[in-house]
Amino acid sequence: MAMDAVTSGRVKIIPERYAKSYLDWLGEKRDWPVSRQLWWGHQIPVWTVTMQPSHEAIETLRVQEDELEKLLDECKKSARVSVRLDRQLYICVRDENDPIQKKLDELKWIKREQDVLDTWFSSALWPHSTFGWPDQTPELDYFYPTSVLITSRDIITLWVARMVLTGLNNMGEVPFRQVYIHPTILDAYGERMSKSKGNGVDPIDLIDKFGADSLRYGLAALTTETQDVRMPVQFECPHCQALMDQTKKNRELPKVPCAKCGQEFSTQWAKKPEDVALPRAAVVSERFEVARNFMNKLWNAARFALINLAGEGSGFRVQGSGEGGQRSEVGGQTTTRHSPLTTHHLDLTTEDRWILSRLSTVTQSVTESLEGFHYAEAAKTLYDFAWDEFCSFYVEIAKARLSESGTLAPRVTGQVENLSYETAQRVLAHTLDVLLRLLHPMMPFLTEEIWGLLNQVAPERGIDELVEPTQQIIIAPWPQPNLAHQDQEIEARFATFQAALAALREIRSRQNIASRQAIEFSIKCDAATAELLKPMAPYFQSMANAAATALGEKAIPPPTHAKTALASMEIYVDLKDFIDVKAEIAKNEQLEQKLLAIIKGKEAKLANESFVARAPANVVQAERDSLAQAQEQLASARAALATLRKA
Amino acid sequence: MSSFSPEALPNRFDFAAAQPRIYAAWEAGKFFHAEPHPKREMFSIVIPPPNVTGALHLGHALNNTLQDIQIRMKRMQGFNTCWMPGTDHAGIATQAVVEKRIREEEGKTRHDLGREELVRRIWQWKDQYEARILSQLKQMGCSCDWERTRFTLDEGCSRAVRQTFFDLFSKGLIYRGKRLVNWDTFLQTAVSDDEVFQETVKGKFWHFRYPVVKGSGFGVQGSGMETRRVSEGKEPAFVEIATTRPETMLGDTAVAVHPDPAKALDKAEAELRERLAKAPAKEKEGIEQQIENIAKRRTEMLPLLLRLRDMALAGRKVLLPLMNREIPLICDEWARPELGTGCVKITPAHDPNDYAVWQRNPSIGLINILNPDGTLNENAGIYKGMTIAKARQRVVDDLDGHGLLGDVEDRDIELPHSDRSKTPIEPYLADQWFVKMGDGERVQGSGFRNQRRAGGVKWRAGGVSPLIIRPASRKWPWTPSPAAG
Repeated sequence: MAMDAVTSGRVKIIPERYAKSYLDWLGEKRDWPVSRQLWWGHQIPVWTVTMQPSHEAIETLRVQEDELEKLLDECKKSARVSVRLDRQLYICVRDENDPIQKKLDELKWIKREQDVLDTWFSSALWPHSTFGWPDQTPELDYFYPTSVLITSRDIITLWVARMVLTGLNNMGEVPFRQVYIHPTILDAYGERMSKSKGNGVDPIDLIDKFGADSLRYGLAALTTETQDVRMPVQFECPHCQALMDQTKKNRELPKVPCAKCGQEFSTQWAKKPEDVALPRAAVVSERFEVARNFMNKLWNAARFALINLAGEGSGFRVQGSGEGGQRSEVGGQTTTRHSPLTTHHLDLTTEDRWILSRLSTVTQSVTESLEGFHYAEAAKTLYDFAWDEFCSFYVEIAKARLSESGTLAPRVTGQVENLSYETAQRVLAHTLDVLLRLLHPMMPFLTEEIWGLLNQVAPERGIDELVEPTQQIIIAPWPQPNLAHQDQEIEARFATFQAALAALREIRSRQNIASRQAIEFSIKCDAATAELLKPMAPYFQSMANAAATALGEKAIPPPTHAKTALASMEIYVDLKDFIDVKAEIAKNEQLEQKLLAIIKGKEAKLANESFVARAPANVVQAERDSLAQAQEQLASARAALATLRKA
Repeated sequence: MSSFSPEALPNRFDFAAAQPRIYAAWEAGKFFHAEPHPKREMFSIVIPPPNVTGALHLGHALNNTLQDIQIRMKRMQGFNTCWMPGTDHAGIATQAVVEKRIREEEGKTRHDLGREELVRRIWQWKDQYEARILSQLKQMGCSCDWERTRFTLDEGCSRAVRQTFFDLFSKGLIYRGKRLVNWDTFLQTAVSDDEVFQETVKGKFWHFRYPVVKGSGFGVQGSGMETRRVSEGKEPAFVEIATTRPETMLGDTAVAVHPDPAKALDKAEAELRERLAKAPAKEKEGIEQQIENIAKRRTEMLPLLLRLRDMALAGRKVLLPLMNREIPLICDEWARPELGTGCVKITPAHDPNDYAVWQRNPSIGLINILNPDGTLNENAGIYKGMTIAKARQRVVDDLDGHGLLGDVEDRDIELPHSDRSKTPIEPYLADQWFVKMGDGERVQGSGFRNQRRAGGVKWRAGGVSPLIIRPASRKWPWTPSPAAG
């Protein structure tokens, strides 16, 4: 029956591969030794009358026979007492407070079993005993079978299978609908973490250092579909805060010198007073540093948004924060009113439509990932969206709209600007709102904090309609993807734009061109890509201070340029304003002379028959290769000179 | 604070200040608590209860974060969510930790304290560590339904345990029996296979000689067995065996030889040849060497093994040195002619394989030589009271003194250790309670008779009612114990 529960899908094990160890173990049908010679546990409720007593005891027992008869008659009448003769006479009593138990305890010739039950016996009952069984409680009726069990693979047989067995025996129903088996965390060397090895990371240390949200996000991001996950572990130097990789060697030492600052710190092994006196290094993992950076990035993006949403005349009232202590009920009152500005009137810009489209896609994807226990996938989707799209992109673009003429306050000179300003605020507030809700399960504290602040500056939020949010995010409704916002074309356009923008920024930094200096560029690409990029001209302007001179198949590289080739496009930045043509000509002429001399020398050497005949073949070949290379460099220098002279 | 200015926000999230404040607000809002609500769809999870042994580690942090992520999402999706929290009493793990502390701090054992006092001390420990674990879960942000917090040893769980045990007992699914268990001599309890880990230690392989008892058995007395003799040559004066555990010889009850050593060698060779055909080049040489070794054994050892086999069939005996006890030579396939001397000592009470040999040859009997604390008991004769290590040295020395010690080889040995005490596990014969897993899932009500899984020993686990056992004479079937006490 317990096997059928899994094969028939009444209990679904995720990932599916773990169903095998469950079924194999049940298939073995090994009897379970349940007694332990301990004192801490559930004492076995059995009283024994020995059937192999000593000669002296037999005499006593014969005297007691009548009493035993009477006792057994009484036991027989009770449905809560069970008696069995199996070499010895065993009496099992169901209830602790049964008067028979007291009687049995008082009889000297009957002994209570001293052993306790294996600890897994009580854990096997956990899903129904915690909800009230053996009583028929409303909780048991309502919450059992539970929805999902989340555990690690080492206790699939010890615990999971036994819960199914007892659930079926006691409740006639499986204890849970789904079992999710998560990976085991190992260190960089593939070893289990343990205090006795010195590679154990204390979660409370991590909370103190990085915050609970970083710990949670870091762990979720680690939870891939694999059986084990590796997490390299570092010492954090208490002197200079540098992270130093733990090795199998240094993790066993009582003190370690920091690789960066050279000062010594102690480890958990410090015993000698002089070692103990050294400051202790915490054992951490840089995985959580990544998570902390993410947390700070979100905080700062939110801070920017809050500052810009709090602007006067924004359509959002600024609320006092005096009522922070109030609470609202789950699914409580939320008031909805239609915005005076409908979506149509909102005059959404391309970037607004893009971020709303992405937001809808991401909402769908994160919901599916989390419902399918693909934690790492959900964590990555949120990270990429929040960091690369929302913070680095949308907020950057919005900055221009929100601070035209250099002030944070909106210009009231014309309706268009005002509308654009309010629209940007609406989209910004809405995107932050949805992002916070999607992030809440992983980063509950940060999102709750920002939610409270956002409620103060934007007490009504939404795109199609304005909704008053719940006071706490913990009870806010989970976001629904707005399919009408999804626009594949605009997402493709922005993806292409982002790639080109990244290339331009890379060229800037490679060529050392300051961002305040305007640049011109051309992109050689197919017609479809050019169509996607054309409307993005203002964004190239605002985000990269760059103007496109040509887009499409016919784009020709300028005489002096820097180039980056991507999968679907070649990007050329015109360098005519950034290089000294005369100096470049002189430089190339010098190079030309130098190369000519090298070539002459090598040609002479290779013309020498005795060298070619006597030198080892590989030396000769190396000489030939190097000649060919010099000739190539010469050709390239001459080509450069030709274009430079034309410029 | 009357108005809020975002510009005044710090440029880093002050999580240390925010976490406790926010968590307190969640608790005050009762957002974690759920009551049954017939009109709302529920979502429930029971926590894998952490052991009250100590603090939470990163594995717990992962496990609970993943649960809280589901619970929080489902709560936001509108489900009536209940995450049931609690801790596990973790029998052996907790008792071991507390006993260790009492020993270190007060120099007392559990027997000094007595059952009641030890259990009281562990409850104190539990209260302290449970509080710590629950507070750590809260620091992580876990949104458990704390009002419902449970403990596997609380009153409700205890009732559930007794109800279940009683039910299984009444259905005949619980029985008591002696079985070779993994014995932790330090904690003095049986531990399950899952609480045992293997560790390779440096050890030795000692060769001993047991003298053959002259004129024992029926073969030499000219019975029918004599005519069936197929082996030739002079009768050996000694049987040589080898062991990594010399002290267990005190509990030997037989020496086994293979019933058909020639066939066993052929079979071993055939298997090697099969492996050779499939083996990669670098392993071939080693396998070829083993095949040669078998050929050598066929000429050098087989006659002796055949002779010993015949002696075994003839009921001959060897004298167990030091104990001066006669033990039979027996035929059993556990003896492997391709390994060692081809003969094995059989210590059924202290080795799982030898235990299986005893199950096939119950007449040889079994002798337990250990006390629960790992010292030798009265069955070990003059070695009584010694530790295993000490007895091992003495047995080797004494056999050497009698000229019965052969070669001593160095060996790496895979030794089972207890996960809790980190001390070596002893296979030990003890009375244990078992839950029947075999047909158990289907058995309802009355008792049953069944073959046990391994070994073919008939095991009666019957739910016999007191009415049936009560004899007409009203005399109880008392049978005096052979070794009372």
